[in-house]
Amino acid sequence: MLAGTWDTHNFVRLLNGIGALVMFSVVIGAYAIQFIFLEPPCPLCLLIRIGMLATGFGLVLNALYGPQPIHYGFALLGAIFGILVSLRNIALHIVPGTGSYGDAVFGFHLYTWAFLVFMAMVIVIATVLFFHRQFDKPTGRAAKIVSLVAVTALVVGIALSAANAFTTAVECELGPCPDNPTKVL
Amino acid sequence: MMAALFLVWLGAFVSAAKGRRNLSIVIGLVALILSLAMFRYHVAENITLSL
Repeated sequence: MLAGTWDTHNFVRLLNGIGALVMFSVVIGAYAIQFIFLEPPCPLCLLIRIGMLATGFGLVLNALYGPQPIHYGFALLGAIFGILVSLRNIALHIVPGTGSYGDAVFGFHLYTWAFLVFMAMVIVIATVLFFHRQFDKPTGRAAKIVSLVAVTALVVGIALSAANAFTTAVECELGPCPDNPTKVL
Repeated sequence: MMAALFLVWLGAFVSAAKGRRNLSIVIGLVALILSLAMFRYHVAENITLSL
């Protein structure tokens, strides 16, 4: 599983696969809260999920096809989109006494956690971009775990997109999503 | 509408899975622009900011 060439290219591929899985795990967590605590997602919450998927998509491309600037650009655009949406969601409830959406998890609401995750991802991507040798051709065959993590992240991304399309269609039907949704599924 | 947006993202992921990297990037960019439009739609009310 671990046997193979561990040059910068292959190592960064593995890092990107793990990063994508981290982004997708946040969406899975949001799903858990949706169904366990019966909290339907607001429209901005759904857009935050899209930001997670978009960031993860760029990282999945890196993991599958090897690191390329266009993939990183995509991941950064996705993260910046997520920052925009989550900041808007934070701003809606920033004045004390104006309420909040959903329950807090470990002291922060989900949109605040999302903002922190997106910011962390921007910092991580900027740091990984320091290692320019990742853009060189690989010196040997990558270990099996690199492909395994990449394919797993891709499958999870496909499953989450499809699942969100279904649950959002049930929640919002064909029109725009309600600001204060009541249907969980 | 939001469900359709997730379907576009699904298309981007499936294209990547089929090995069509360039197509997946194009679909992903379209999806990102549509997502921005959807975000704009959901902040359509009047906002007064003091910057």
